[in-house]
Amino acid sequence: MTTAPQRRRRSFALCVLLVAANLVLLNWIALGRFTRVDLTRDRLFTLHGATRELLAGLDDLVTMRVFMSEKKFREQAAYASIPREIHDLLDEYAARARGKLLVEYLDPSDDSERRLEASTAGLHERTLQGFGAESLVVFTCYLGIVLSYGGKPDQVVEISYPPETLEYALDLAIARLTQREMITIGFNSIRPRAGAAARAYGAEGFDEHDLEGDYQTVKQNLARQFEVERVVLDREVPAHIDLLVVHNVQHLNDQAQFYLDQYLMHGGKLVVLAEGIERNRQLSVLAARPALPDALFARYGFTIKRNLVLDQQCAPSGQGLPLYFIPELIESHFDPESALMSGLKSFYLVEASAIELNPPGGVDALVLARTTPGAWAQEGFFDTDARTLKPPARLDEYRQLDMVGLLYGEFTSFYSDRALPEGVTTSDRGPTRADFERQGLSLEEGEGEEVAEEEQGEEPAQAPPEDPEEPEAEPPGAASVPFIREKSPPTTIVVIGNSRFLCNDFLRSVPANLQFFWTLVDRLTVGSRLSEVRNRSAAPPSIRADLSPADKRLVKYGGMLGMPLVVLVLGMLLLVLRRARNVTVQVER
Amino acid sequence: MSRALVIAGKEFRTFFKTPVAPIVLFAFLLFAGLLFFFVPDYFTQGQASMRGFFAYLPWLYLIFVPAIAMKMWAEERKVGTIETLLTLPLGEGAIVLGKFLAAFGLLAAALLLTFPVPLIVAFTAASAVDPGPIAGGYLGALLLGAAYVAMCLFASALTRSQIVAFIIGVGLCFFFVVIGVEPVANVFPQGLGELLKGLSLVHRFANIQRGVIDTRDLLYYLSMLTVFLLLNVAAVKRR
Repeated sequence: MTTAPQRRRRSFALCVLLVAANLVLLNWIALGRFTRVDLTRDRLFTLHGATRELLAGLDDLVTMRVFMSEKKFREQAAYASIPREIHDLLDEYAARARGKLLVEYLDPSDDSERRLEASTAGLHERTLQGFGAESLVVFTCYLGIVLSYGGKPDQVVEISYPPETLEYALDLAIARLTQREMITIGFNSIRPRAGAAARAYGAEGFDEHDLEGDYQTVKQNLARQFEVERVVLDREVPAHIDLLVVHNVQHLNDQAQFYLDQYLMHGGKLVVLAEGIERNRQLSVLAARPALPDALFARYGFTIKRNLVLDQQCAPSGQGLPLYFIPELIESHFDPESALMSGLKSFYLVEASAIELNPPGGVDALVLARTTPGAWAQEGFFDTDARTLKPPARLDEYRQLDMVGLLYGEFTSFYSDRALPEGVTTSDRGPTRADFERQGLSLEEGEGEEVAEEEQGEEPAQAPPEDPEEPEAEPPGAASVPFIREKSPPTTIVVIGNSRFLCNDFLRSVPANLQFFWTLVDRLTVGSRLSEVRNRSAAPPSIRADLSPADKRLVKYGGMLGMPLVVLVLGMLLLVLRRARNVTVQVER
Repeated sequence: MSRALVIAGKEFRTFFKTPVAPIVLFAFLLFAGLLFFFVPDYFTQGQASMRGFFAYLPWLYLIFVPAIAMKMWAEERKVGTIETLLTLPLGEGAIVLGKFLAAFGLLAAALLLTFPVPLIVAFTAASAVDPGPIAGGYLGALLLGAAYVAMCLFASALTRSQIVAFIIGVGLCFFFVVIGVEPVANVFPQGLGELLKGLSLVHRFANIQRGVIDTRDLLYYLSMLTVFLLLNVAAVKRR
């Protein structure tokens, strides 16, 4: 015989069990069917619009072979969510591609054939660390995707953990597979030169910044999307260069300046990275740069100042940057209208100089990024000793300085009113109508059509890429420059008052610098929105640098004590009033 | 529902009839501010973000919510007013829901009073702060708080001693927090560890805190609420 309390306890226990089962069942069902609302400003956790456009535009089948050691991941609590995250993402990819994307999941863990297939495709086993029952365990696994499209070479995407950047990596691989023509980015190079000057700027035989040296990281990253090559300006810039980055400016001789000028006159796009100061590595001091092509730059509408820009909005400790007010350029001081800067949060310029834009007629200028108003510039004597360097005491020394600028329009050649340097040659790409008119010549029949076509932006047949190291055979028809282009079609120059910000050391510690440059290159060439996918970042903004120690103390103590004290005082006041009212009521009674 | 609101109103006013509510709110806001601005120092982190604020909330709630909820049933039992209350023509469900809404209201008020924190974060930020994760964080904090309140109310219904109710409440909440912590989940065999992590309040809170509202997380919190409120009704009926 059970008593009433026992029956109640049993029914209570049964009730507990039933509701617990309900809890588990409901959540298990929900695992398969769910929707999400992404509240973040950049839709960080939703497939980006650029990805959706890319997938919607696929014209042929892309195959993704996902080599993933699912079983091993599921055994490790720390990595157990990886398979689900990857399945979720790729399901969304497949849905958006509307039948043009085939996803195949392969687990090579216990399958030697699959392992061979993975290693043939270029994917190798990797080692990860997890938790065992009592200690840390190390296990090997496969985690990568091989993409195939038509007869093109496969693209391999290694998945990092956590797989936050996977969407961008996949987009890049798909874009590379499906794009018809490869975009080529050139980085200018000076010939290795002997003597004291070379030793002062770096190891002999290297440029100040070298794609195989301190610019290796930027090269490796850009090479994921573009062809990247050195361009030696002792001859014409090859026609297949879509964008030329001029970062070795200290010894641009007359010849190099001529070829640079003519590249621009043919509609080439330029990015100039230059500061007006240089660091002497032997003496480790900064000095104003004596040799910059100032006259050439002035013709195009910009000047690189011989100063060192410092800012109170600067790199905090732990960023891997030198600690002497290295300017942090932040979103609120970017040009809000420019697509080149959209989506970027901030970046740092290391030992940078200000720029000045004075556009000539027919050219528009736009400052893309400025310092904060808390910046100042050193001129003449440059002090970078973190122990002694202090912001200026006088308020009038602070000002906002222009650091990144854009010039767009039809530029006039530097050589339109001066003699050509000796020994320069160009292959005859054909003069423009403007060239003929300027020189008072008439067009022969048929010639005008060709010129007109060219003026509409059609490039002549591209020569195959040449090895810049190899001496080039004289092109047929090369002469002593029958015509130089004196006026460019509408084109773009971007000027950044710094070249060091792209060096390996800084890119590793400040990925934002790479983001900025990559976005710039991407938007100047492809004009794609893929960089927006990369620039999506959950990183919060940095703290304002113009807050004094007193401001900070006020913020912290005010934030901690302000509201609690208000609540306490009001609460007590309420209690006192209530009691006073109760006393009054009792007295009245 | 209207009957539940009547109970909720009465219970909510009761909080402010004694110095308990102002003192509890004062303590909650003081510790939330102290942890956010000083542990570690807000300015040395270099980032204008509320992540630190939300990261401490599950642990702060561990003391704050049981302190609010411990008296709600235990006091009624101790004083003997529970018999009167249950004989009112309201129904146990409405009474439980009313008490839950009152405690949840106080918690929501406490969260509302932290509004200077996002304002300070926006003021100290060098560029615009993303409001999404902040909104997500507050929504997550409300859902997390609601689950805590339901659990602590259930704990209060189990005993007539406020101290015991407080201890049971802290223990229950602590269990649902700690099972989501990586080293604890890893002690269990595979599968079970993952299941426990999925049942953890903190794990779900971390998802919403990023600024992503997932129906799986919402359903989890709603089912936790339902389960513990039903258990609360069962516990009240049991006596």
